[in-house]
Amino acid sequence: MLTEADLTEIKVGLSKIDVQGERLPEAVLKMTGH
Amino acid sequence: MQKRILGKDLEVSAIGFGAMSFASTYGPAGDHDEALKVIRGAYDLGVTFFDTAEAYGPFTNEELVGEALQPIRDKVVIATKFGFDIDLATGKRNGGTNSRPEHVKAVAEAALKRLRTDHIDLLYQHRVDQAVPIEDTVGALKNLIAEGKVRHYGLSEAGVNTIRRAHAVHPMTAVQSEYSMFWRGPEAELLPALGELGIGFVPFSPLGAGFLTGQINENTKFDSNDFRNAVPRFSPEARKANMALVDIVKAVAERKGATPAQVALAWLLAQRPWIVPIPGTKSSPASTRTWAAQLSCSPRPT
Repeated sequence: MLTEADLTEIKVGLSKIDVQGERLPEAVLKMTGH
Repeated sequence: MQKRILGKDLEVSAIGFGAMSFASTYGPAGDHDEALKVIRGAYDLGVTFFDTAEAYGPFTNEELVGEALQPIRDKVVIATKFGFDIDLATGKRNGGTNSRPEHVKAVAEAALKRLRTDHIDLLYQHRVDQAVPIEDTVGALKNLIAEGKVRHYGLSEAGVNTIRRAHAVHPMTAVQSEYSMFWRGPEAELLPALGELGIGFVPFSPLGAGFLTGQINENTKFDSNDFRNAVPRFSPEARKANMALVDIVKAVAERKGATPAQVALAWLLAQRPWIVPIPGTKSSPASTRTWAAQLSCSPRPT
């Protein structure tokens, strides 16, 4: 069981991390979000 | 495995199976018979929602999924996608997109044959075609739904404005885009809009293309054909910097006696009750077990 406390712990942890690097190559990214 | 509802009434397993990994995306496709075992093994573990696309291969992934699921066709939900400009006769990729109504119809007809079925449960536009109004494309999908060849439709990696325009033409069942702890872009605009419109969400790469499993670090060498070699966040430097993310997942997993993959998926399932992630694997049926045992959670209501 993933509890509210676990989710809060993850949320706090994620808030301190700035993920490095784009998720896709530039040409592929250009095809998204339209 | 628990069930979830996408859109108004498409019931699927809470975790689906993304079959893209069999299409050389993550290195060599592997043995055909083993692939059949992996897909059927996912069903044996409770998965009833399977995702493929015309573009995976192209064509070969739909053929594989169709062969694997033919014996249990009435027990599963099959999703596939159209939308790239691929020659229907030769499989040659012409580059770019093609969602002209006549092409949508032709791709759907071809997909039905490859999937060995008389209907596609969920047909997505793979990428928005900026040369074709979305209303025209959805009009073609609406015709396929009226003919009984398609049951539901969706969009993949589309923007909120396009989703709203499409949904106004015909109610949409699901949007598929990347979402995980590794990429949280959908949280700002997409998820609130989908909640408002009653559209389900199907995150691909829910395990961050493998990163959140804890099996990848800065020293990992990918196969020369693996697409991650060309992805900036998988450069050795980025992987080293992003290990802090994996550490969070691992810490929770160890405390719970679970795998990092299970925690990453449970986190996704907790975000909304209408989110259905589609992890994949090509290695073995046993590999599927590392994530198919679902950690329970209480999703946010909206």
